[in-house]
Amino acid sequence: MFPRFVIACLVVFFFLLPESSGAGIGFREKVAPLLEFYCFDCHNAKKKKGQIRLDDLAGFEGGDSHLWTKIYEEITRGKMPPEDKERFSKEEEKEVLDWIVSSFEKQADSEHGTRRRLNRREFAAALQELTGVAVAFGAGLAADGKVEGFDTGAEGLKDTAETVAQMLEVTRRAVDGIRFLEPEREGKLEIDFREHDFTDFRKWVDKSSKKEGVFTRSEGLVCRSGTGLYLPTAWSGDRENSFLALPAPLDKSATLLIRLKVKAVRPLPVLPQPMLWVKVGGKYLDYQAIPDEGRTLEYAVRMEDCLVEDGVVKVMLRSVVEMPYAVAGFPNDDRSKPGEVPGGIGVYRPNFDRKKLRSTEDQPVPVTVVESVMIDYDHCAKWPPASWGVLEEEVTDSEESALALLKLWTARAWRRPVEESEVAPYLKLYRKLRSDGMIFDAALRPAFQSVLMTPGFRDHSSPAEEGFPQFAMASRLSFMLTGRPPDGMFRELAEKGELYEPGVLEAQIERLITDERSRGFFEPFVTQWLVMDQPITVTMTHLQKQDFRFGRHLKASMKEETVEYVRLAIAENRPAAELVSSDWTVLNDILALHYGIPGVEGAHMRKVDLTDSDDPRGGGIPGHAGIQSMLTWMGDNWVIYRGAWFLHHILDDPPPPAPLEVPELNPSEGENRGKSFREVLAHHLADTRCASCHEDMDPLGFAFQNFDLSGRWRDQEFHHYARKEIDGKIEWRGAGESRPVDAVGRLPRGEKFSGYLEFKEQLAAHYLDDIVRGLLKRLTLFGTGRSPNVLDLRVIDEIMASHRETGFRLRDLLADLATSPIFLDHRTIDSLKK
Amino acid sequence: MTSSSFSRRSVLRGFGATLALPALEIMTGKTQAATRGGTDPGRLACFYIPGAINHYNWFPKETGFDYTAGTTHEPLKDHRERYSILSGLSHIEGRISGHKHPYNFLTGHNIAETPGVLTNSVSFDQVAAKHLGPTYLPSLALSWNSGVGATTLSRNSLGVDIPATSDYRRVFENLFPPADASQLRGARERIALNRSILDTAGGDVRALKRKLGVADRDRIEQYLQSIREVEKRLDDRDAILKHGRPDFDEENVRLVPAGKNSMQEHLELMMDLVALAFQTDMTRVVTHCLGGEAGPNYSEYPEWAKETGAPTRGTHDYHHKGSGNRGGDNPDTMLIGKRDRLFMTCLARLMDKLESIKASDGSLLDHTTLMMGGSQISSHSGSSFPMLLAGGKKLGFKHGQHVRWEKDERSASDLYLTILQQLRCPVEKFKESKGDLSEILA
Repeated sequence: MFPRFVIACLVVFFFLLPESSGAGIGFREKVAPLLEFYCFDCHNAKKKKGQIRLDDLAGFEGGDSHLWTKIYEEITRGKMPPEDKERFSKEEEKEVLDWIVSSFEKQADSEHGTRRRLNRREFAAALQELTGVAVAFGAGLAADGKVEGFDTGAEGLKDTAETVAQMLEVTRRAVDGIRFLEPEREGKLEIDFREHDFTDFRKWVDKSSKKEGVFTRSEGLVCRSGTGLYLPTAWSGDRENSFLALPAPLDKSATLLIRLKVKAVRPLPVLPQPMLWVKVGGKYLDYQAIPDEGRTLEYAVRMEDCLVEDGVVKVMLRSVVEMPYAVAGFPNDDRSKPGEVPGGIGVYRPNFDRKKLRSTEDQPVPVTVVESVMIDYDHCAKWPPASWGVLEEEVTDSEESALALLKLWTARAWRRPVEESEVAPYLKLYRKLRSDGMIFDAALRPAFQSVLMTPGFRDHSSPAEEGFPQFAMASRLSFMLTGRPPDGMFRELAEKGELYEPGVLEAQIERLITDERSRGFFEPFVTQWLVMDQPITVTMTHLQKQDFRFGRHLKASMKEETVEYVRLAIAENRPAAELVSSDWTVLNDILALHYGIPGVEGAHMRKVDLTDSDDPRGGGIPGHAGIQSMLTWMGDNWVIYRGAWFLHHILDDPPPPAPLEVPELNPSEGENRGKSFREVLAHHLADTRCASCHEDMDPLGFAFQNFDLSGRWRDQEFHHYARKEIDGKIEWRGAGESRPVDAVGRLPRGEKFSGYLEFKEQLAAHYLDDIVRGLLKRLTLFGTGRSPNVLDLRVIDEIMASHRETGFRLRDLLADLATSPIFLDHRTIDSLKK
Repeated sequence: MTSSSFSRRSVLRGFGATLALPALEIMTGKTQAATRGGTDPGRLACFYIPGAINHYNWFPKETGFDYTAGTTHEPLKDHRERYSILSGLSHIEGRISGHKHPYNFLTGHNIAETPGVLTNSVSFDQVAAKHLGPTYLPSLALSWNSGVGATTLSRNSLGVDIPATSDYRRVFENLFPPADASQLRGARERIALNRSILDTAGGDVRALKRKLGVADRDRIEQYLQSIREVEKRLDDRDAILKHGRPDFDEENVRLVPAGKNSMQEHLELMMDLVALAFQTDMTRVVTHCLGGEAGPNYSEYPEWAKETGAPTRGTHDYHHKGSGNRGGDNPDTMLIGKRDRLFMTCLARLMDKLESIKASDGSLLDHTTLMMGGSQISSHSGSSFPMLLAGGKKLGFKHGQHVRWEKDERSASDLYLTILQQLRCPVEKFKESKGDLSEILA
């Protein structure tokens, strides 16, 4: 037949070509002619369709592994060659794919690196565990480069002189914060406010602490004996309060440790919990709802990371109410006219006369009370921490002690057992510094710091490396699932060599995933997976002016909703379909208010069953207000962006990059005004250059038309959206006629839907494989630092095959992935059972 | 309540200890070289204009020396002979689209050339830094925010981002050796200690390298290379520390912006630090990203919006709405014109300062190349950079003209090569350069 004849000619042709470096005979003979015939028409230097060029591939070079993986994926998923062009025969496809796979297998050892350095948050966490001091070390480090949005990608974690210099500085701070023989340092401020009674905090501080250089600018804070210091209630938009200003040492080299005991006082049970904002040295450190029973809050920062103004570091505490509420007997403080704000709830806070109700207990407002504060200006923790319970003998000013301490430090830093000989260079440094006249602590710290600059500490090693595969695996899994180095139990198992006994790894994975420390996995993973670090647009047309428009509680809760939802889905081993469609969700008070779901009190997240609910969206990530609100632009839903985001991050089918210089399309301007989205986007489908990508993106985006700018459900959409401004802040309001929402669309493989719920059904029925594969690929990148290559993809396919029948239970999938050859970097397991 | 005491630390006295160098005044005065009787080295400062510009007000119609300056450049009228407008340059091979322009503005690399991965190469300011040094700080990367990615313009020899900073105080503190004699001694002791720490760690790194596979060895080598560079900088720094801190009027250095969120304040503070750095010769290479693609939303924007009748928008939207061919009287376009003009006002102020400082021959400005430009005219396009070059008369530049090249006739790399060569860097090529731009040379 004609095509085969052509191929035969090409085979001969290629056979006669001189051999180029890196090209095996398999490539020239078998694969290259096929590529030329089926691919080069579009993927050549001139056309570069999808911005991909294939005509300059000369074989399998390590540097091209991304490209070959992409080729493999496109072919195996049936996307390339495209449907309307000539496609491989079954034998030809097998030929190409087999060659690719065998190339990867051969190259695995030499081409694919397995090490990567700890990223900023892992480095900081490791330093915290190692020193026993919970300082936010990451503040001094440079941000990491990202790979596909993840901060764990090896290719994004490079070293420059600048970043190494910064690490040198941060490791110095870490060792400066610990001591061995030195006594505890002076420099503490301890106040138990429950023992005092005054009405003017400022005067009181002046009298008692001024000589230490501590002062405050807060006026009128009241303190009641037996209760504590009352922080005045602020509302969003109020200016900040200073709590205390502390003197900073001139060399600004110290650890500042602050411990606060706080509790909420709510004169009436209907009042919401106050949110406490904590700012130290110019940086916001914390933001949380304070419970009635109280809480101890602890913060540790380095002075170098603080803003020091005129020799002082300022600690700011703000107790803010960010949840609207009403109290019987008090009128509403919001005075906008009814109907002025469409769909407005009309209740924010009760209006009361402060002159009449002077005492906090009489006022209908929640208050945060500071019971006690301890500030350690120059915190230096004894090392090793007592909680480790490790060092039996007392530390003395001797080389024996130095050696013992060094061995302990190095073993913990390198996350594996160490021999005395390995510690010798650091002991040598210690000896030299002692002979230079330094005291014990001063000489040991640089030796400790030197250990922190070695790859043993700063790199993740692979279980495939010679040496300590069990410890490397414990480390890899621990950093993935908790963001921290392996804990005692994990270390013990590795020590005994039991990690690869049947069921042990799975049990450890389950232990970590269901532990609260798994937050160190879910928060960065979900945020990066779904690209959630974007501004969330929340119009406040339904919550009153000023106070909640850019309310932190609502925005923070929106992000928390998705993170917590995924955490529960995985920890409770739910089927993967529930990621996009379920009958449960997670809510707190402000989210429930936002969605219009009654009966949810308290600022904490909890699981809520939606089976009997009226909520039209049901459970699942696509229905989260934070997600939909994030994917909007210029006053309305951005159908294209929503479609593109969904394709990219949920369906694992990213659209190719847009061509250079795409003209803008504004639905509210010019002749587009008043047209429905569908009419406006018809442009895309009319032009073949645009249609090839947009025919998948646009129809999909329509699934979300029921979500307005703030991610709430709507059944009507407007003629156009007009920009309104309140106090210089932008707000979009629908204007003109309204019409029912048009949510008719189509999924990429053609499945039609006429509304959001139908869309979810189609997803769960036909796209589970895509969703699961996408998730497993991203978990691979997150856990190993490598974008999944062909070998990884094949293992993922196998894992999926064994879980398809049971509905892809999420925790089981994760466990299988983490114990698969992917996490062993494709080496054999026998050598690992040490 | 227990009291605090710092008895453990030595009480550090204030600034102003005796030092080896004669005094310098900040505002007017001389450069280090002029004071010491040496020859002034070249300096380089690159400024990047984010988003798009108001091209109606930027590009002059005529070329040559008699061109009529666009209204954007009106603040520079007193410096007419000291700057040139260069039009038509762009990255040709390295052309990209979208908001990643700061990544490759100074590198010319096509960062999207490998699908799935972002690659980059060295930025030309780092090439300059390598040859113009050693200085106390090899180079300074300033920006509207601290970080990497689109926040910084500088990439090292491996194409890895060099973090930029927006913290004026930190810049100032790191710009100079410590003042006090005991602090100085402490700093030198610290350097020696750091050398020992790196030395000891380095041994372990080298030992590990021998055991690894190819790709991993490359990564470790990258780390070793970085360590070596840090060690070299420590040595350079130690040599400079021996001379102590330049004596100047420190009290009058402004490090806190007066306005809450003012673009002008921010730029002036940054540029003052640049002038100070160049005058005291603490560094010779600075890059400064004047703003972000999507922010910050400076306080000037609402004022400008009122003046031009433009609606309130975020910075990113202004870049889009004000760019392209909407007409010179479009309110958003006029707003961008005001922003462009503010850049020029700040540049003029910097040029005033540098011109008033005497160098070994001529002024500091005569030995400084200032390059200010952007990579977008409209939307996300990356062709025909708006570009302005100033200063450097003693480096061989010829100013006072508008030069325009045809599209894709010359690349920005040609300009960068020209600048490097005038700064006496021994380089024959930069990225896609084909040769120098003789039109701008005396």
